[in-house]
Amino acid sequence: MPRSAKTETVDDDELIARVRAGETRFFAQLVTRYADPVFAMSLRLIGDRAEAEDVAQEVFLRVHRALPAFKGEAKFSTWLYRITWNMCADWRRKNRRPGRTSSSLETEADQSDGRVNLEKKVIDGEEQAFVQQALDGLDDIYRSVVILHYYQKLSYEQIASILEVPVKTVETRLYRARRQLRLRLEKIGQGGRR
Amino acid sequence: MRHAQVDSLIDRLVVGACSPAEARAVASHAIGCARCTVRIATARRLSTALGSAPVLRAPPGFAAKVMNQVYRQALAGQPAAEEAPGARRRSLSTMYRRVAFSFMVTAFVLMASLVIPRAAYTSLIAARGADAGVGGSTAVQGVLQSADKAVRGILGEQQVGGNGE
Ligand SMILES: [Zn+2]
Repeated sequence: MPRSAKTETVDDDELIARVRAGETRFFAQLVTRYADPVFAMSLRLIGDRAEAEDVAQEVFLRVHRALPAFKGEAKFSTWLYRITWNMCADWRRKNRRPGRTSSSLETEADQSDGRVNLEKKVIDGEEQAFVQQALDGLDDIYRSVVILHYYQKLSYEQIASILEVPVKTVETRLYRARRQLRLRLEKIGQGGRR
Repeated sequence: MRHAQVDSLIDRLVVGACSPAEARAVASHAIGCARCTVRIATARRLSTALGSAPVLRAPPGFAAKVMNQVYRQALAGQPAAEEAPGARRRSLSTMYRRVAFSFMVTAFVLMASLVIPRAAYTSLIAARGADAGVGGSTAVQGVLQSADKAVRGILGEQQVGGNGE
């Protein structure tokens, strides 16, 4: 949930109406409200802080330009996240480097000389980075649903709308993504016990 | 229940998507199976890690940067701000026109001050029956041609400048 959503008294629809009426300053409230989730989504999908910031800024500029055409058929937040997802997907297509999306989990195990200990990682909190690496190794269609559901806390319905797929597809992809992640983590765990 | 069956249920089990009967069957198998116990534990850890990912915040000043660009974008959409170079072109051509007009006025005044007295002088000479009007007339023609050339030059320059941009 956006950082300040609870304390805001003006809802998205009213802010949008004011911006569309020419009161540009009200767009600042929308930016403040959604800056964190848009930036977080960009960073998780892109993986580079500076690039994620640029893309997130461009998302809001595009949203501002497109606001007159926003029909309100979907929630504003869903529309905003769809634009974010599309722009990040574009970025990934343009900036994909060989090996960038391949799993670095095995590399991690190799680098730590076979002493990877999954239990320790849980205890000392490094598991987040560990899971992130496992996540980087997933195909984009699985990676995306994990990020949108677990990190962005979006519902299946919102994810379905953003990715333009049926809700059932989101459920299936999420199930497969969790399974693939678990298998990768199990593999690392076994490597640690050798 | 066999390992493979348990394995197919683990990822649903940890998110509470299994039926109570399935959950009981998995639990009773896991009691006697170290392999599946480890798998279930790993799935739970993964679930916990995914559910407790750190919240990522936008960098400080992010909203201000965005609004700065939003206002620039809004201003750029207005013709006055966008067409500043064109406005400069217009003011240059206005200046050329004014210079040309000044030249023409000067030329006219010059012509009036030289030709009219000269015409009067010529009529006076003619009245006296003498032919002495050629020298003054040539001087006036020369001045007029110079002025005309200057005006044409300026107008020509303006034309080139206007087409060139
Ligand atoms: Zn078993």
